[in-house]
Amino acid sequence: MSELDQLSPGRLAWMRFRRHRLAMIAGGVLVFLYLLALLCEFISPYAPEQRNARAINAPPMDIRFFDADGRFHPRPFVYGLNLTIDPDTWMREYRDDTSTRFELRLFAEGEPYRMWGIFPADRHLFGVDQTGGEYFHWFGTDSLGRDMFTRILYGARVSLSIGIVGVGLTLFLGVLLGGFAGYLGGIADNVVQRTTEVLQSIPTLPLWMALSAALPAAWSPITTYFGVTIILSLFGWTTLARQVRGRFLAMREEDFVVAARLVGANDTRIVFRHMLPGFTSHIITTATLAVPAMILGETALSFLGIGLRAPVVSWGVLLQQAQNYQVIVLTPWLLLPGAFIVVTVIAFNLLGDGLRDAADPYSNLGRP
Amino acid sequence: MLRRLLGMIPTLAVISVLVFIVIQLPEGDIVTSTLDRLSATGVEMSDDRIRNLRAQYNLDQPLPVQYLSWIGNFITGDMGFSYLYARPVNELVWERLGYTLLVTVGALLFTWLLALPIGIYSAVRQYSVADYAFTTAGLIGLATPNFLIALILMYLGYTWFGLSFGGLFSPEFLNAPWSWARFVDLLAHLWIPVIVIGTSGMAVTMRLMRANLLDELRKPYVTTARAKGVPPLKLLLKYPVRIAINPFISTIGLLLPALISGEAIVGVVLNLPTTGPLLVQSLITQDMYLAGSLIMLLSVLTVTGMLLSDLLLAWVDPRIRYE
Amino acid sequence: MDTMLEHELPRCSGAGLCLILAFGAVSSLSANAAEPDWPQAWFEPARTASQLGIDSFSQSPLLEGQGLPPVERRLPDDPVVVVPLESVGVYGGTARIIADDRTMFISPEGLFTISPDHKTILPNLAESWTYSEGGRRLTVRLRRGLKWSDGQPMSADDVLFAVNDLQLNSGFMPVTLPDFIGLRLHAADPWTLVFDFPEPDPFFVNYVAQSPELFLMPKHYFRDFHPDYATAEEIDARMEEMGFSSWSAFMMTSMQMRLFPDLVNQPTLRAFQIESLTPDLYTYSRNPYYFKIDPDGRQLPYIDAVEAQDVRENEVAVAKASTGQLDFAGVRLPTQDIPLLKLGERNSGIKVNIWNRLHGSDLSIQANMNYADERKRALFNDVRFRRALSMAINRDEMNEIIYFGRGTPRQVTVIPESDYFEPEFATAWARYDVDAANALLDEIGLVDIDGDGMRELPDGERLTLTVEYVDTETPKQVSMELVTSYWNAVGIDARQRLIDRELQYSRAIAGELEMTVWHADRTTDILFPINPDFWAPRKLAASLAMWSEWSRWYLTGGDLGEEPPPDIRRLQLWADELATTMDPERRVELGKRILAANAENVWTIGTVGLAPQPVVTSNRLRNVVASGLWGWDTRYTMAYHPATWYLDQ
Repeated sequence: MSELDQLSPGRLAWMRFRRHRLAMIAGGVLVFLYLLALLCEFISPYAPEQRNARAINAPPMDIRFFDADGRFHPRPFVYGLNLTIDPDTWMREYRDDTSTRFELRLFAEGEPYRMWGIFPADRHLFGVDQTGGEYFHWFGTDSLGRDMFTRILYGARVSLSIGIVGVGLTLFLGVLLGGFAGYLGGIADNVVQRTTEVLQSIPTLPLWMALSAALPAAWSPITTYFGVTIILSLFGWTTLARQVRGRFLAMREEDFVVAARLVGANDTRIVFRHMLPGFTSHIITTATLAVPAMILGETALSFLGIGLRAPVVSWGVLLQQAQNYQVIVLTPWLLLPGAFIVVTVIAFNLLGDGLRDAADPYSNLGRP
Repeated sequence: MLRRLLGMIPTLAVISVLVFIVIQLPEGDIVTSTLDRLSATGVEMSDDRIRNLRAQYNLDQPLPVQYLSWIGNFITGDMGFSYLYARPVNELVWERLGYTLLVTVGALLFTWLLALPIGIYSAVRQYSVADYAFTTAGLIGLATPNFLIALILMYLGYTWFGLSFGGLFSPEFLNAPWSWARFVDLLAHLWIPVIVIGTSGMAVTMRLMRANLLDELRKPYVTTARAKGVPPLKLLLKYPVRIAINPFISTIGLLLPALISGEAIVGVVLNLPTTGPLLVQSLITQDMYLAGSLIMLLSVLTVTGMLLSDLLLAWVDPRIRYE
Repeated sequence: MDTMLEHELPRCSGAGLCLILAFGAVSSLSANAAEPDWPQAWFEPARTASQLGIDSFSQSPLLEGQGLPPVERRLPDDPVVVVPLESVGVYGGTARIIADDRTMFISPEGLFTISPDHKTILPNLAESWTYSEGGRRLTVRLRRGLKWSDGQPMSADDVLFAVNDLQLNSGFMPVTLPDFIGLRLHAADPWTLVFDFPEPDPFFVNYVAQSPELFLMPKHYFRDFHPDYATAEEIDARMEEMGFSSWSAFMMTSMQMRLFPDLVNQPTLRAFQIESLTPDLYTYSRNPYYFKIDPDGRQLPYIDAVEAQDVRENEVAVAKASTGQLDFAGVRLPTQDIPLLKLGERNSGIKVNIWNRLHGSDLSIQANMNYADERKRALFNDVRFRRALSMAINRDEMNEIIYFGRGTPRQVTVIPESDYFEPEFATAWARYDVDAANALLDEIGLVDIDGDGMRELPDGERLTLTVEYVDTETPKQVSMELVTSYWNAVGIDARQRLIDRELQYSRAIAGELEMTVWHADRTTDILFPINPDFWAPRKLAASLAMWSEWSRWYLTGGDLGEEPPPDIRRLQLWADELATTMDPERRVELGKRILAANAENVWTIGTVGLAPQPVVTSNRLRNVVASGLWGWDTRYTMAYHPATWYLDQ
């Protein structure tokens, strides 16, 4: 026995979590990604719809310190691109134009924007001086000449928030329905049980498709966004509801609940005051692990062309535009949003793992 | 047992109503579009004519009547007529369902055959480099959208192995009678969809196995047995693994709908002769009988799958009993 | 293309499935009619064996020993001779295509066909025709001894059946197609058809040539399914067996050549007949009774069999084409994928032919001038608004971005080779001029009231445009992404959504689409004179959403719909006269008036037209033209004689 005995459960969990190195890294990655998404107007050098007609399907541009003659420049720069369309192959070929050096600078002036739709500004975290027609596409451009880095950041805002908002809704439904089913039992339990059973036996894709197809075209992008999110969460709550119900069933008989009831606490108070805290950690874990499903669900709908639609940019929408052979063979940088999806989903999973281990009082502290 | 079987009926009834509502949701119906095609080059139809046509397709009836006639026919084995393909739905479905089951079951087996041993290994060698490596690999499979893996694998299949793009057979075997060579050709193509669909469930299965086994390994009986000198491998396989596997059987039913959804998208990308592309196509074109009957059929399969998994579970784990 | 035959053509229902079913476009060389190296014979009525002194005939070795009658007895009395492009071919081989290219590889055969000059109608199953003085009677003489693929003779009866028993039978067509209204048809003898029209109909032959399926059905086969010839019990039993709800549904399906099991039994006049259907493969075998021969007296086609794979996903089609797994591909190949296909040209032994699409513009952007919302309707009827929308579009940039600079920025109008063309029809209000567009919008009273950069309607509500369309045949989605961003730049909030084809039909006809997009075919002299649909409201169709109520008024003789204002009404009258006048000069004058009215009023907005269409052929497929005109008007490949294509083993 050691000083561990004197620590609060929360502090213990945090210690356990800190030992989960991968989860810590994953958490860091996610914080970083969400920051990028939050500040995308400022961090991205362009606006998502801004086109550069001189760089259609241009490959990522190399950031350099040494020019073609081997001279060192303290300020990083990129070379401009020379575009030729080969008359035989119809291929757009880009060569570095070593006579043009576009210097990168911090807080560069660029396309004016409104931060969070409110504050007008025109400074971007980095970029090139655009007065002389300079440009800088770190991740290359898409088939309409739009900056991929910018679009990925704007896509992050939509995709990452869909995960959170969707899971929020899922949680709300799952905890509410599962909790009451488990606590009240009887008919309520039966109804919820049957409903989950039914929903779990129908493949979700057709349900998603039918509902998405019913979203009106005249809806603004933001309304559509919420519509899609609701559709995604509408069928996701069943798993959580089942788990919550199970916990409630078990906990209902626990001493402290019985005690609370004996003292005369009402149902609502017992549920929210005594029982819910008993497995918030569990809920958080499940929620963390449910976020990726939302993000992937959005990609699937976008793939079928019935999810979000342009001009809304999400990772799914970006991938939908990239899913063809020409991209794999000739312009693979358009698949970069896929890499962001992979990283995000993995990070959420690792974080969820860490949280679960941390929340589990029996997990082994002695091991690394 | 019988009770459990009877319990399926209300579930299926509710599902059928839900399916019916869902396929009615989007605008338009097949008669509207038939009418439109008739008058595409021409003239407005008089109301009489439209009424006649709707009557011909049973669409003039109130929705509950339409529902009853649809589900009535479904129960008697008549899934209706596909306007899109101009063929009875039964024919369309039966010639494809086999491939769907093949791909789906293949994916399930692939997931298990790979995920279970890895899960066991990861549990025994917890926090080893291999444990992390497997976890990461599984997560990459989970994290990459299915259609993307499908496209990339199809491309690699061509550039590395010279496989034809899409489908389950090379063109020369498409119409050939069954033979050993055709079977081999099928296997050469089958691995792509199987891997694509299988990878998405891999991570979950792996981690579940690992966690279950870890729980089991911490139990006192294991410590006792170990203390008594039972050989480690025998000990591992004889009790903890057997018990840790149980939950999987119970998840067959839960995995099925996900597999079928996955199969639909992958089927579209890979141009498979399965029910998936049929389902997607019919939903998009509002081919009501085809869409409705197909979802219903898949749901019946899923519910049956759940039942079977319950039975299997009771058989594997005698502690579980039905009241 | 959106007649009732549309099912024969590639379907791309719905959003996601046709992600990129865009057919990109390219090519500044516009559709130049006669290529010097095409056989002169293609431009003239085909000659026959007797005219060329051919008296011995031979057949594919495949047909030997099959117990068929000798080839002389299978060919018609005087077979039609087709001159191949490069050389006579060799028999044999199985061509690999995808199912959607089947009508491009296996041309329809009708009474008439279309010359590669894309203007002239030529005889085909008919050997000649004459119009009466005044144009109210058309007499068509059929070739003697033609046979269906089951060996049964083809005669005037088959045309009578298709026209009188089907098209003019209200039990089959609840509504008579406009071109059949008032038509009377009888046979003077088994080989002479007499069509009588209520009005002069000089372009009826164009219609027959372009839509041959409507005029020919094997009566000896289909009579068993027709209530005039079979009892109700017999028909019911047959329908029950096949699962069809009615004989008319069955007949309609057959006519559309949709792929369904009974096709295997149905006789055809095409070069190939379908032999088997499986979920992923349709196999065709040569029609032993095909009526055409090559100059050496050898019966066409050269190729013995065709395997059409059912490929629904564009990407798979493109991948197969680019890696040499198909002998012919076109319809599912987007313009934007040309670089990938060209890469295949270097690696995989294929040839990427660049054809020209006949689409006057790849996009016909339409605002519904009969829309229910009063404010929108007023706006869409304001010519300044339509001009502003048009001038806000940067067509040169679209051409660079989507078409590699090889399309032609254009309004919706006929192709340059047309008799009805004037250069300003293509350029009017097509100049990119943001200032002018802004000035017009300000003038209308659409100003940014709340300072968010977007214009509001005069009553203060944000102006939003909703464009719904099907992404098919031309690169619509990517184009509209650019167009909406151009409109955004002049302060107009435009939203777009892909819808399913079926929905497009019903909503366009009901006038419920606020704005839509279609592709502008019907731009050659084959179809423009009879279907000037984009420029005069006379039809209800999926492709026409700007004036459904005016069309309805026209079609119902004023009973339904809304009476059009005078400047629209005269378009209808001009189009009516264009279709019926027998005076060629008057015709051109009327056609140009109609097109000039559009140039001024911009009823529909164009983007880029005459675009490049990739047509991939394997290195072993021969006799395919290197560059042709691609589109619905000319049935894609019909003028280039696919029956003469052969596989060089």
